[in-house]
Amino acid sequence: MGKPTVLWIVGSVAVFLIMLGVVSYNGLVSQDEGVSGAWSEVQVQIKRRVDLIPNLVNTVKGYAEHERGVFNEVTEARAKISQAVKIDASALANNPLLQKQLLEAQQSLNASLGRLIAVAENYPLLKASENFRALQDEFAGTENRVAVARGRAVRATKDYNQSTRTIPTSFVASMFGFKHKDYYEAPESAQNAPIVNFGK
Amino acid sequence: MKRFIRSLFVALALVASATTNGFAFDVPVLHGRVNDTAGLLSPATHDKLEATLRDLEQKTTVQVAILTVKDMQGQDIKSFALKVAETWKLGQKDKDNGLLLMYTVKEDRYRMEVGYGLEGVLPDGKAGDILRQYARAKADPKKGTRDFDAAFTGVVEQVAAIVSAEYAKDPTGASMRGTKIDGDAIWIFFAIAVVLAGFAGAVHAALGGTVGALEGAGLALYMGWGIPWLIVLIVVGCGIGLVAHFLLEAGLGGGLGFGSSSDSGSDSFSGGGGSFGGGGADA
Repeated sequence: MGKPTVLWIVGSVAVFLIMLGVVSYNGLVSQDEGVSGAWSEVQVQIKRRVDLIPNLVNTVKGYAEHERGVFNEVTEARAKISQAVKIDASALANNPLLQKQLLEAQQSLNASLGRLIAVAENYPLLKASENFRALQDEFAGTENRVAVARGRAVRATKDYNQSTRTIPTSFVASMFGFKHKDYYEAPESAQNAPIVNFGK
Repeated sequence: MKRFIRSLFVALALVASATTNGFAFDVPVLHGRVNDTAGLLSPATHDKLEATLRDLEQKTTVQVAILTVKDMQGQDIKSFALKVAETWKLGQKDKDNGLLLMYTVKEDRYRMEVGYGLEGVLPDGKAGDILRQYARAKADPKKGTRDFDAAFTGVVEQVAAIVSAEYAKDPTGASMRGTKIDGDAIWIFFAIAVVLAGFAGAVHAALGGTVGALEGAGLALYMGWGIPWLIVLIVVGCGIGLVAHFLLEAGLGGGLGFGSSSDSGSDSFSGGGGSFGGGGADA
């Protein structure tokens, strides 16, 4: 092996390692962004759900003016969750406590919406109205979208965490401070329980 | 040395396979636009729906598929339909304009899973409305009606009418098809890459190896593939680069016939890479 050959080999190895480092770093950055993006999508979908509420409340009010209690309940739950969807998505991505609060706010909103729907079921004219049915579809749809977005956020976090622990990205992760992200995973029962049975 | 190379490849294959993950249950195989695994449709309706949906895709690029299943084995239809739609990748990659219409016999549920790109023209309320008015009204086994031919035909006609009307307003949507690099182009790039590495290798074998490795790395970077592929491509590229010089010298360079094997003329149907976010409705 002459001197030039050794140089070529050393040079190739160096280029290879630099390439590997660059790709690892870029991959971690984009996965990190991906987790924040996925949580922001959860917020977008919850917001979309929250924005539908006035429409539903007004529709039900048209038929059931005197059911004050349930309207107040929905309005309160709505105010609470409106705060939660304003949080910065990257803060949400890194803080399981905030995730838990968001999920609980969403569950209490679902519960109060469930009672509103149950009240509405007592008014046959309302129940049969095309507008009310379409709204029920929209609510069922947004609920599903929130669930899908949450599932994807958890998956994105798991993928990111896996990268911070597997070779070769783990070296780059520890060098540049990409930390493991904790996340809040709802118990299976709470996730699948049909709190509101829309679309029947 | 041989054993080392072999174990290296086994290791690489393991790394590559470890990163792919599957679904917990089997998504039905995509056989065409109409996948009537529960056998609810007459052959005539089956063919008619296939033709209607093919026309729709040719006109608007929107991909609609139909699936009937006998039993979801306890699955929730929302997550079932989403997994199927995600696996089949209905809709064009850059437009997410796919739609899955499904029905499950045992659970007696219809579901319309609407891709991101179609949520505007088919909001959940509209989707549910179509299912109730055209599907439920014709085939509702609990009420003794079972005209699934009419049910699916009605829904498909509605969806096709709505989508076509939208694309007539916005015809730019119709021109964007085939953003993928086709098979032939990849082979031409490959040939150029080998020739470049071969020239470098003529100066020095290690230079050929380096160029090959860089080409492999560049490809992985450009395609945005993960680390396992980066490593595989660098190693393979380096290997090809080391020998490319001899390949070219042996006269193989000019003689490599890159056969084209595109089957675009056939009638096969496959998803275009569209994404879904859980939009749609069931009834």
